[in-house]
Amino acid sequence: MPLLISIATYFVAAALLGVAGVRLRKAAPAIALAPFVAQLITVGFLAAEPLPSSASLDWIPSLGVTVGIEIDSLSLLLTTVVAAIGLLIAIYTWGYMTDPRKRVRFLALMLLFSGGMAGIVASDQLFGLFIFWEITTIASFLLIGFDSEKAAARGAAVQAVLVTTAGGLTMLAGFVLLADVSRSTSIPEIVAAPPTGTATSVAIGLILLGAFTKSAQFPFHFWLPGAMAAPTPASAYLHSATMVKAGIVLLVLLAPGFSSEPIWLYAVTGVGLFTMMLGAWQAMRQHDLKLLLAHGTVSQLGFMVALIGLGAVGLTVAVLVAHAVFKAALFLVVGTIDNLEGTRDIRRLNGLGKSHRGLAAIGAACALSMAGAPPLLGFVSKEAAFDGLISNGDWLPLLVSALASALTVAYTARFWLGAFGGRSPDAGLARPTPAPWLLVLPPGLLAAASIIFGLFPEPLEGVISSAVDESIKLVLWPGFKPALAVSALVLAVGAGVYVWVARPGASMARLGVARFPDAQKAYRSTIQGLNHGADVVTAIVQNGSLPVYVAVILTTVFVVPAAVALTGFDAEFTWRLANNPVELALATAAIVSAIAATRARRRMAAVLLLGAVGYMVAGIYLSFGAPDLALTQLLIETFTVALFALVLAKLPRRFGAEPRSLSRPIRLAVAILAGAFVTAAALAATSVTPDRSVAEFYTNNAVEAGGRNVVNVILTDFRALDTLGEITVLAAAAIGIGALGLAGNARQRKEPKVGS
Amino acid sequence: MIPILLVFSIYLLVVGHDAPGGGFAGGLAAAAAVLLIYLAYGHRGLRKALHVDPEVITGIGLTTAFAAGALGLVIGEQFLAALSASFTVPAIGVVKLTSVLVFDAGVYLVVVGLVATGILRLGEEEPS
Repeated sequence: MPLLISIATYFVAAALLGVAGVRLRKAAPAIALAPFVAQLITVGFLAAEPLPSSASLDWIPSLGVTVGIEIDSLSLLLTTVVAAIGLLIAIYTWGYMTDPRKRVRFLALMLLFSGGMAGIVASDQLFGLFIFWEITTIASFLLIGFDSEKAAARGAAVQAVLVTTAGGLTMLAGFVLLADVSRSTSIPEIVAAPPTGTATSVAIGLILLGAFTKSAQFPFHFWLPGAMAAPTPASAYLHSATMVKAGIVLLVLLAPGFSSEPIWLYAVTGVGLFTMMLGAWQAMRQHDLKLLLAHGTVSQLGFMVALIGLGAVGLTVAVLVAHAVFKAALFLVVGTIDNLEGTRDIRRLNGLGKSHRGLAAIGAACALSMAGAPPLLGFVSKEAAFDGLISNGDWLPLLVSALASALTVAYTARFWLGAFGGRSPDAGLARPTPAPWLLVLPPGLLAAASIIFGLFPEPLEGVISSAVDESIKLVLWPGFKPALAVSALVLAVGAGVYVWVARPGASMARLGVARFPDAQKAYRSTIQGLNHGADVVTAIVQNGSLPVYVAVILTTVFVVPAAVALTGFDAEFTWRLANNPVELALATAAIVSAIAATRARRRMAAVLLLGAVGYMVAGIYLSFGAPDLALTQLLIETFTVALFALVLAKLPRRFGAEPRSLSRPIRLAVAILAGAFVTAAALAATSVTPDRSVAEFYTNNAVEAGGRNVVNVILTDFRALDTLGEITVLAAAAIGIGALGLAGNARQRKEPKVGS
Repeated sequence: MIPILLVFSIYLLVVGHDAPGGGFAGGLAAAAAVLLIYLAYGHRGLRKALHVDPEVITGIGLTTAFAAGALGLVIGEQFLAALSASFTVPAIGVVKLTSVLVFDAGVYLVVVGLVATGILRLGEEEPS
């Protein structure tokens, strides 16, 4: 329960910052940092207690939706990563953004995101996890589009949200299916007794799609480089350390139960390895440091996914932690460079290593960790992964991941030498100024973590081993084993690749030969096709001809129910002319008015005659003892006439020529059929002996529900949800009228008015 | 005539649960007052009399109705459960308050807002 509360504090703090904003003044930083600190402290206390323990909150019991968390070593480890990196990035943001309004808004969104992320890593309930998952999707949309005045940022945000929401919905379908076949919504229960069969395979396939979109796996990888339109702290947090790891976390949670499914082994490992190569290849071609890191992230995520595919859960977690630490730091370093020099382009940066030695050293430590060089955490985890692949005899994955790692070494060299290399500062750039400490300290601490856990990996080894229930080996010096040779070979080949093609000066043409399929282009043409299709359908359905609309509506009215009626309806029609003379008179008047309305030449006359029909009908309601209905009918008729009068003031007085869109016989046929059908339906309805029990139920229960007017009680109590729906439609119609009025005004202003 | 219509509309709203009336009918009666204001004082006069944009009235109404429904959820019953409480107010007698009335008030406001939107937008004076 304490963890659940500490997750809730994120949302409280986010709401506080979002609502009160800059008015909080000095309290704002404290509020922004408090949830992270609180959660780290909570984790500290929980780690001392017996594990695992769990807490849950029934949310929608009728649907079995529970928000539940389980506290075990894995969730504590991941929560620590999320909260610690979040804390550092929040501190960094304070130095990175100078506009107080933007800063507070950014932190509010980041807290919202952190709450969702903290929820995901702690969740043990399928649907609770899904809710947190979608919170991160929404927050990420808002963060990518943070600079909302830029069209590129908005486009990237929409692209990311479309891809990840599509994946999220697919995943939800998978969850529903999985919960159905396994009769449980608790992940540990499902994994402990995994169901089998076709339905399970389908469910797992759907869930995998969700995880792949979130973790930017091929062919959904393209949204991640696009998301670099986000402010750099957001990229550092969301798109390296946390959100893209959500898919990995989900796979880690499910792996123990389902890694033996064939779809798991081949799809996950295959997709992961391919993505790993693709990302590393693309990273080597980038000039923008941030894009280089983004493609590198895609590659590293592919590595993790491939490891899960092979069932190596512990190694996945080790790589995940190592990557989160160095990649977040590298993004922050890029942010600092951007802040200092105003550019992230390696073709423009020059000599930064000379003027900013501290920053260059931090960058070097993290970059070496990314390349997998000793004595850093990145080396330790990658070495363990190679060792695992070798001892399992997974030769193909070993070959591919070693090759991709060599490319990783190459793009790492391109990154660091591109950012910090060169002899002298470019004359065109601003004079070197020392970086503010807020922009150096957070990446510095993360770099220190990479070094410390690289030199002393034992504590991490212990935590991960107990977290995933399998023993993994994380050691700095593995001894002379094949894995060490692989690591050395990777570094050597990577250096060669760098010199050959990935050097900033090297010809890009050498890389251009092998082109991967362009998923970005596929996405764009899908969206364009969708818009085009919508245009075509709208042009057909909404052709602007009122007679056609009315004809379609009326035809639907009689065709659909008539089709049902023909298939079996055996009521006998009994009818009488009228119950009393008043009814007869009212009905006659209504019929006469209706016929007169069709013959009217003036628009106003037709409207008034229609109003008369309505009044007569209201009179008939009254004679049946339905005052509510009659009252409403009278008021509605009055209004319809009044509103018509307003519109008619703008139209010619007399009806124009025959409408051309529908010929007279067709209109006549539609009118007669609709009229005949309604008459028949009315006769049928009055002929059937009604089931009294419904009426009795309403009259008997109305008083109990607190009212004596049955009609009103039905509207506001028994069928209140319907009424709510109706007034929502009314409100939507009101907005539509308003919009139409505005559009009409705009057109009138634009075009000179044509004589009325 | 306008105040009379407004009072009548509120009467319809309040008694709706026990006698003919209710949110729809009450809202329409109030809308009749809106229409009268428009006929008597014109477009500008109605805007002034409403104080706020008609869309705002619709929005408040919809929010009220949803809030009335959510009240049931908060108290631990179902969404839209009818809740009622009676108070004895000195000199007035027993006053019955129900969430249904709040819900109906939302309906009332939506109807008034819709009609006012229609009148204001459709009856807009031609820009000269």
